[in-house]
Amino acid sequence: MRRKAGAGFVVIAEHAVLVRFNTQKTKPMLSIQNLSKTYNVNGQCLVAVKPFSMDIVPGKVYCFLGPNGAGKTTTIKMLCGLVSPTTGTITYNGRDMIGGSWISRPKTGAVLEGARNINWRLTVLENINYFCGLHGLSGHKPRAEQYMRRLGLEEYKNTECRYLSRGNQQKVALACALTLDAEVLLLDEPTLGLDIEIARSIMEVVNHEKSKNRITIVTTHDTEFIELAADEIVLFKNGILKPIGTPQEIVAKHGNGDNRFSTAYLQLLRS
Amino acid sequence: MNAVTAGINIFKAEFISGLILTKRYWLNMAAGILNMFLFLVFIQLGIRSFGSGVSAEFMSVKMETLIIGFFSFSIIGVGMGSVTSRLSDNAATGILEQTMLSPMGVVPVLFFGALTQFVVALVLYLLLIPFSMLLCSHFFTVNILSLIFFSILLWLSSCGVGFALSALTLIYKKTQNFNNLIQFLILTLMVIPSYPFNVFSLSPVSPQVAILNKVIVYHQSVGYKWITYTILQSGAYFILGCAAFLVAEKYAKKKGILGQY
Repeated sequence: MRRKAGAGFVVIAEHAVLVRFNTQKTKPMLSIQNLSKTYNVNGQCLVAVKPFSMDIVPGKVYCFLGPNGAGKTTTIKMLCGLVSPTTGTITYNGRDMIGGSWISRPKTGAVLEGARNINWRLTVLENINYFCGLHGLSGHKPRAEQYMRRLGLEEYKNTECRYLSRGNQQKVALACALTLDAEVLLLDEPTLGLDIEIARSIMEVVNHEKSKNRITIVTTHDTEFIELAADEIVLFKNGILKPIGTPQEIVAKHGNGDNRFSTAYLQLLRS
Repeated sequence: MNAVTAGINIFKAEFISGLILTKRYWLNMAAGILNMFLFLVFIQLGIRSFGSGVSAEFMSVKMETLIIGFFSFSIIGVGMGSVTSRLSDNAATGILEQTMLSPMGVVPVLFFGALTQFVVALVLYLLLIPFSMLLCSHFFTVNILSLIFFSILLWLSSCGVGFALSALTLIYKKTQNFNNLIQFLILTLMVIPSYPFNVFSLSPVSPQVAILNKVIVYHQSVGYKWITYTILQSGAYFILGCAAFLVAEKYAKKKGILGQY
């Protein structure tokens, strides 16, 4: 079965094996093929993510969007290598990211959901140094200073993270991930529970990072974040993943005259 | 970046963060050192009190056995505990998943963290044992190089056991009581006669403790075959422990239970 599903997409099979046409003439760097995750819970199969394929190009911010339990975090964890997929492959520049050796894996920086990213006994600078060390990096100090400055963390750089607010702790996590100079940046709900000022500063940094030509994937429920930073929206619904275009395209198509992304998104979920 | 460079950088990161945290939580460190020291002093004072009716030669051997026994038990504790407690600590502070994102995985991170703790513990013991003996006016000669060499083997073997226990922690999450039970098994393994070679020689830490007793306490020499066997056995248990951990990690990733503590 083959039908046109919108600009740039073709649905190849009924079970949402989607192929994103690479219209950008950029060589795709991260290629996901037939990726799925099924859990066996008390003898029952629980499908977290149905098989999907897509290519992700660098220099754009991909936003994974969808209701709770739709499979966004599972997908992010599969991309990180923290959850093994049931089927499928993830390749980076043609090299296997799941089964390949550590040398072939791209440098991956991640801000995971919740307060699970930094050692709260260490200071901001010590955290950055520690995680860069774990990634085998040295000579990262100028980058660390740059990101601390950009995220407004300079005055806290010698403060133990346990004394920082939730928002500043999240900024530290982002500073650690960015200082790695990662080829792949994965952010799982980076603005969750943050006040508008801190959330916006995180958005601005993510937006600014587009020029670094890295793979950036963000899961979020924050519609302002999407409006400000997202280039491509990937909708998760009932374990099915579907690239649906840019925020502007979605507003134009589903907004019913309302310019707000939240209205268009709600309409899209209900449809 | 090659494996050696990455390994050195991970060791540096672990060592520096270990030093920072030791300095930051100095009270805990100071209490730990005092604990070690008082144990050593009270072992010697206790033996003096109990041993007043026995010959000097017998008392001396007994005291050396106890001191080296305590030292061996502590090194085993460092080897096992540093891996298991580090895993639980990383889970409690919430950075377990982040450490797993390091390019070489979590095993080198845990290994170098354990190595840091071993180096610190060894240096402390090498300072505290002579000092405690000086205080209690009790002396015996120790070949320091042999002590360090066989301690490394003992640590390597117990590190393997630590990785195997951590494998269980990855899957079953709360395993503190099980780990406490293992202490009794370790105490048993320390006293079972594993020299000369018999079936007990196959168990972890036993031949390493036996060789430490023979060489350090009784000043006897052991053959190259036995030393070679102990080196290989230590390496084998370390590799087996790491393999068990990697299998558990793979299982946890498959089940999606890696970070749930």
